Amino acid sequence: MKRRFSIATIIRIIFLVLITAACIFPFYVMIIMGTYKSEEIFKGIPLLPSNYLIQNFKNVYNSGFLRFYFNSFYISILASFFAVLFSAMAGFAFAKYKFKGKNILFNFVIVTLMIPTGLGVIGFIIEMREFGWVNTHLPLFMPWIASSFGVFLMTQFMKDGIPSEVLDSARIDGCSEPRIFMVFALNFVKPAALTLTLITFLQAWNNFLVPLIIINKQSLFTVPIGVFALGDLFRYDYGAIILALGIATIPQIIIFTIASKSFISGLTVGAIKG
Amino acid sequence: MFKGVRKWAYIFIVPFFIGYFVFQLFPNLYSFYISLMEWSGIGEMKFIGLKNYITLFTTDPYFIKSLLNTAAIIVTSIPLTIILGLIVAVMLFDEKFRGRRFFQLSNFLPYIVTPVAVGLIFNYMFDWKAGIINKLLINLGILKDGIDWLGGDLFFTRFILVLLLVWQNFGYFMIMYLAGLSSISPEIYEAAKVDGSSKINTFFKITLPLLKPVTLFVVIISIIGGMQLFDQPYLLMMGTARGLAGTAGGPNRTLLTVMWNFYDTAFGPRMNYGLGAAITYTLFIFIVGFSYVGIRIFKGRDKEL
Repeated sequence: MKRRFSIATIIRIIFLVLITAACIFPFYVMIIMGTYKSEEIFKGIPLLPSNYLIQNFKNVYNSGFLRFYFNSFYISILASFFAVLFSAMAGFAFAKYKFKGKNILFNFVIVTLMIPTGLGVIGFIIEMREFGWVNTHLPLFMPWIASSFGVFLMTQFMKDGIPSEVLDSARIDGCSEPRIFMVFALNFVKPAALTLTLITFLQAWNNFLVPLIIINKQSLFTVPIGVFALGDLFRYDYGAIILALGIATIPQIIIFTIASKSFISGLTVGAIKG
Repeated sequence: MFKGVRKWAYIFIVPFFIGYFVFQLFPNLYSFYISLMEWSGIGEMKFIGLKNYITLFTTDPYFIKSLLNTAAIIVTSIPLTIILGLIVAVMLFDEKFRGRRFFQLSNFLPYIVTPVAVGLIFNYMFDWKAGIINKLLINLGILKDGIDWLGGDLFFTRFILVLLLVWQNFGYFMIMYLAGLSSISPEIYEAAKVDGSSKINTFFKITLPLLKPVTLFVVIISIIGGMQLFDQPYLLMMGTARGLAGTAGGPNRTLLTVMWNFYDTAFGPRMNYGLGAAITYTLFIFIVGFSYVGIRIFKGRDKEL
């Protein structure tokens, strides 16, 4: 006779529950603290919600913090759009065309994948000053025209994902190359495009060092810069600070929870294929 | 076969390469050029050869410290993250386990959150007087007085940063290992079972070696990311009580990472662009070196991996 739960299973579940509790605890505390009045937060141990959420939200709203949200949102959307469009174009060429220098150029893309982003920060900042792009959002989304990871991902997907016969028969029907790209290529790689969108969105959203240097006008702040500046924005209003922190994180968690399948498939593509 | 088709291949790749040149290749090369100069960002540049690089390893007060700090943080956090990520992945890798999706998702949440926000959340949680951790520990009778976690103590303060990094990243490792586990053919396990291999033996002799490529991948990714660590320690130490008075790296510069030192050198009061650029280039060389060492350690002696 077998028991329904073995001891190993019980240990496993206890361990997983503890780990998961540790993962969620900081978020839980943050949400709860956001419902307290500043003076009350540090008096006891905030484990149950209080009644100050609405007032804290009003304070956050009045500070213009939601503006940072809008900034980050449109910057990340544009970044994702550029990354997907131009990576798909380059990936399509690498996967489905024969042309001189193809292998060298593709190997170049692979090598660039390994160069850390921090390497050229100073050169990039000076260049942005020369362009007159300081205190604009352009340096935050324009660089995504060139996403090496995106080109790599798209090339991998398009190689097997788009049947070459379909492209050829479209050509016989007199379809132009840009139209073939728009109609067929993009259609076949929708899942990869979604994955790349999510990954780029997250990276563009999390970007901190460059905007920290380039942007010093409050109306242009992004969410990470806004989080950094919370102390200046709210002085000693900790309830509002922590609620703003919650607002900066929770919707992101929700979006990526819903889309976790696509996101995860993009993360694992590099590791498994080697 | 089709006339004029090849031309379009070039048109399709051109935007990427122009973008790459303008936003990455040129800035990288220009940074190297600046690293050979004495320059504060304004006025004339003066060519000084490799002097900035020599300064970093001789008279610069913080570079070596920042390098050792970063190395210590990486060397402690990566193995812990691997172990935890692997354990959780193995525990969750079971089609029949009903809670799998829930546990998988909730352990992955910290990885999704903006690093800046994570730094600030931990700053609040581990605050000496007001932080919930000290209060809980005191109320439970574990501690009599709160520990000054972030006060610059070499052990406690680094411990918090390592804890933060493990907390934030093990979900990512778990995802990678889960993908790796599902790519291992079940027949191998069947064969091992038939041969009378115990579960633990199978894990160490079969599963772990087959997961080597995944481990290698996450280690390399973590080294590249870890060497450039900035957001989390910066917010953890500066928190909201920031101000220009704060020391870079926090009290005793315990958490001064290379990138924080870079930010402080180039864009802080020192305004030394030449030295800053030299820092990023030296860091790059160290990243390449560490990655190489990482590859050697994990590849071991077998060459086919």
